[in-house]
Amino acid sequence: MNRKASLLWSVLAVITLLLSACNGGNSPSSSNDNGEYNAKKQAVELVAPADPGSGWDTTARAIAQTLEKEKLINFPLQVLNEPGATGAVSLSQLVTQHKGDDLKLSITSTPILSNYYYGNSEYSYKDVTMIARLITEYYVIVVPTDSPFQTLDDLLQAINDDPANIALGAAGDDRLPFALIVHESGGDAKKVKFIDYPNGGGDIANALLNGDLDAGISGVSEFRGQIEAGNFRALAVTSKERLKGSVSEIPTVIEQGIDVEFGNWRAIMGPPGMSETAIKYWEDIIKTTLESETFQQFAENNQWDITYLVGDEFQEYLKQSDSDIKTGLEITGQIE
Amino acid sequence: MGDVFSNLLTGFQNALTLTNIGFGFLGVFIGTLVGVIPGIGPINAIALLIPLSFGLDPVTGLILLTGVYYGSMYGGSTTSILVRTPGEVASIVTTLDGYEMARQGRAGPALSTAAIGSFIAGTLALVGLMFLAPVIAKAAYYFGSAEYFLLIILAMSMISSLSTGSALKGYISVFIGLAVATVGIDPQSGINRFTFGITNLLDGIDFILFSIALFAIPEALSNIGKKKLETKMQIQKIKGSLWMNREDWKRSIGPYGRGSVLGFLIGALPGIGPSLASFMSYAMEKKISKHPEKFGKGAIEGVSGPEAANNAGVGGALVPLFTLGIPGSATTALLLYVFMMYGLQPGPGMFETNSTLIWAIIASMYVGNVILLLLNLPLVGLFASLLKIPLVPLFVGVLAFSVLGVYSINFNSFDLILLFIFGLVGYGMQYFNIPLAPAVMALVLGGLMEENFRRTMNISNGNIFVFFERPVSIALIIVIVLVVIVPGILSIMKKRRQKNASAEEGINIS
Amino acid sequence: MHKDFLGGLLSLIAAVIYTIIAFQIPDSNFATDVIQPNVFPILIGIAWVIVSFLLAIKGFLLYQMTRKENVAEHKARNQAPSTEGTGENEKQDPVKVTVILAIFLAYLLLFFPLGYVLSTILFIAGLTIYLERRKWKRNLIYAIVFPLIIYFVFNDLLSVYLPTGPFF
Repeated sequence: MNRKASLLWSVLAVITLLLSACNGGNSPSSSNDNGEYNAKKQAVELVAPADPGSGWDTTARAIAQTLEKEKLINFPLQVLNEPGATGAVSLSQLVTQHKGDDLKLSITSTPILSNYYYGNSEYSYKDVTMIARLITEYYVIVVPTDSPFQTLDDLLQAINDDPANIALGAAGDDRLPFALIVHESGGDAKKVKFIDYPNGGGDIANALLNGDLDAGISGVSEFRGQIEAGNFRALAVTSKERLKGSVSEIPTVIEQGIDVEFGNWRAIMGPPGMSETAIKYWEDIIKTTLESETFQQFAENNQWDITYLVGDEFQEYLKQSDSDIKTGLEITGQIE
Repeated sequence: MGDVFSNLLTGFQNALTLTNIGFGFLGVFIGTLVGVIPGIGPINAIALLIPLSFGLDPVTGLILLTGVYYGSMYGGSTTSILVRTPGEVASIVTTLDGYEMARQGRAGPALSTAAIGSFIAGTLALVGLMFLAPVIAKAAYYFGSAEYFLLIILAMSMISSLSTGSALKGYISVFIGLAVATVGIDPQSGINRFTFGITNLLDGIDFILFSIALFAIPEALSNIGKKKLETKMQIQKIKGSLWMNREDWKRSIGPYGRGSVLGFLIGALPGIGPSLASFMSYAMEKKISKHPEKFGKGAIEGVSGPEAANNAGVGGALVPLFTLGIPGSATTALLLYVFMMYGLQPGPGMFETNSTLIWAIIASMYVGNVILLLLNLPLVGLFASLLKIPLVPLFVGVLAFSVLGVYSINFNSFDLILLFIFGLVGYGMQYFNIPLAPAVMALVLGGLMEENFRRTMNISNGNIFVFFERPVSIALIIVIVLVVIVPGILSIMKKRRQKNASAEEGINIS
Repeated sequence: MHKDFLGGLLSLIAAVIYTIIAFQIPDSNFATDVIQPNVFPILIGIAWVIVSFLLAIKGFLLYQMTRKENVAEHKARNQAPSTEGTGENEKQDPVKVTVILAIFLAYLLLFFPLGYVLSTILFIAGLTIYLERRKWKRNLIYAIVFPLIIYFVFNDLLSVYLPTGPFF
């Protein structure tokens, strides 16, 4: 590079520097000057507390893209990845460093509840502003097609007779719904032989096919393909009512006489101390977002069930979900 | 079979338009640039560019993203060769001989053989995917956690091939890596190990962070921390042609073929395959070579084989995805996500249910593969000339890039401190001549080994004989015995014989 | 001292600490777990202790041997740092390495508070000028251009947001 070119570069660099200095300086603040949300049109950050491509990230990006495509907001919104310890790292930053910040949102789901009980996080759902539930995914219990177990009852019976004989695959907290089912049907959840597959459904499906596992539990979308192809027999889903579409044949747990309903929800939350204006604003925008055609398409592609819920009903639901998780952890012996 | 060809033809007809090829080039170009930054491997590169592909027509979007994928894989190998900074698991072994070649002034042939090996293996793997997928998928049924464990043991036993010096130091390196692998929450038991109450440690030590800390930081430090600074990197003048010469070709052809086959087969094992493919190829090439002592000192076979295996592994990983609906690695899971955006319904038998799309995917992957070669062979000269950058700016830049890469893994300040700590560890290891690659590979394999062993034991209720109950596991045990124990005994016997001989011949030596 | 002795000793200390912590790992949360979470760490720790110990011993013996063999060289050896190894490490300048490490650590600590651009400018400028004072003009231009290009590529093209400091 000759001298002239380097000079040009440095001039360019200085200009860029000045420019970026001008439009920068957006210190986060709550900005409801006259009751209007984000009147200054500052950038809002939506945090996905996990790696790119993960479930939380997908949800965050789907929302961001819908907002942009349907022109629902008149300010920029960025998706930020803050992975670490199933959301605990990001949660701690949200609570401690963004208190009262109306311009910060985050995706969350059931680990916010269990992390607290494990002692991996100091904070729980009560320490943040839970804005709205977005989607719910239910669990399905499957066995390979050549398995002797025809119904959930068969499986539970076998576990009751000789728990060491039945290997059941689950990823982390996905054990909890099954533990609750065993517990509710009168068995001892501590004796269930859970085999952990931290990477989730794909590895469990593989282990069911290669004969390592006798049964498995995971989100419906993880096993739907195998069920449709006839490789797996679905014994039960954990939703209140039967699911729609190709999985409508699968009976619910409740139908089979065991009173357990368990959903893995995903929600959007803000930092503690978010203003009423901001909460109201996002409740409305999220509603429109979820109802839009763009998002419906996302939901269909990803096999999500849209289950919008806000306000007191949402708080009530969270309370129930929190107590279910606590019970699940207790009966599996993970907490006292 | 005729079906396959007509399907593929339709796939190519859809893929080969001017727009698509244009976007293919764009994708490979961006992918290569992004892949050069350590820490941004194929996973992040695709995730970052997914938004860009929205609004494109499905096949065009696919070509763009597969281009990004191939480009970033190749970008990772480039940094391994030039500045000893692997971007992902697959290019760890490339640092051994690739970087050595670069220091000997042979960066050009190293980069060329990586590109050509990738291309050949990519082609073979896609052919394999088209014709052999159903057979191989069925074979995967015979691999359970017991077989996985034995396979990992086999791989572990080959780690020693990564180092050249003292065996004792190689073991120390392995145990450092294994120890690091145990940090974090233990998923099977829910117990936190070596986390000291720090939330950021719950997920364990990230592999990319560890390898940047162990490879890039010590190398940069020892180059700029010398008493007398050279102005240029300590390399000989770029020798001969930038391209591979006749001998390079002759030595590379075999590794290309073996690497392709091995990579494809191992890559097809969900969960463990993709991280093993390139490493196993390196170990194999060293084992069958007539000059194993040249490995680690710039043997081109140590680049050609693993790079081919790596790319064939990608094709292999698509086997369980397309036939069983099981994504075999984080990267394949992301590819599945991309495919789903374009309407692919995941599940077994995707070849039948989604045939048009699958063939379009295969065709676009092939187009991406060709473009990678077309774009990168001319760039070899450019990349190799990066080494002409004066030494201080080059390695200060490597340090800055390392920090940037580590930042983009988790975006937090804690990781930067970890980078510093492990950078010191790496520098210390290098100072004491403890090899670095075994530690990094042990970190990758350690977690898998423990996970699969404990899984096996839990499933069998602690019955150790479970390893002798299935045909594949018995076969693996036999291979382990043949590969590890027999050569060990032979070499001991040889040494003893030599000792005896020398003792008889000349006592007067001492 | 022979390098292997020191290396083995340092490795041994790390290994012993690791093993002690490994023994304190509690049992699994699940009664059905066959292999406890402390088993692998303990095995790894013990093996690591053994090989480190062996290396230290080997280093010590080698040192003794060379000392006996070559008493004359003994003094010179003890004063100057060891000149063994593969030729690359021995030319390291301890002062320089320490300064480089200090600058690097400062960069890591200032990365977030000052933001990417400013901290990187300071790091590259500081380190390159420390190493090559005469070429300060080239180094300064490099220090300014490099972070700005990266910042632009990351923020505007890739949407990976680099930390911003108090100014930008």
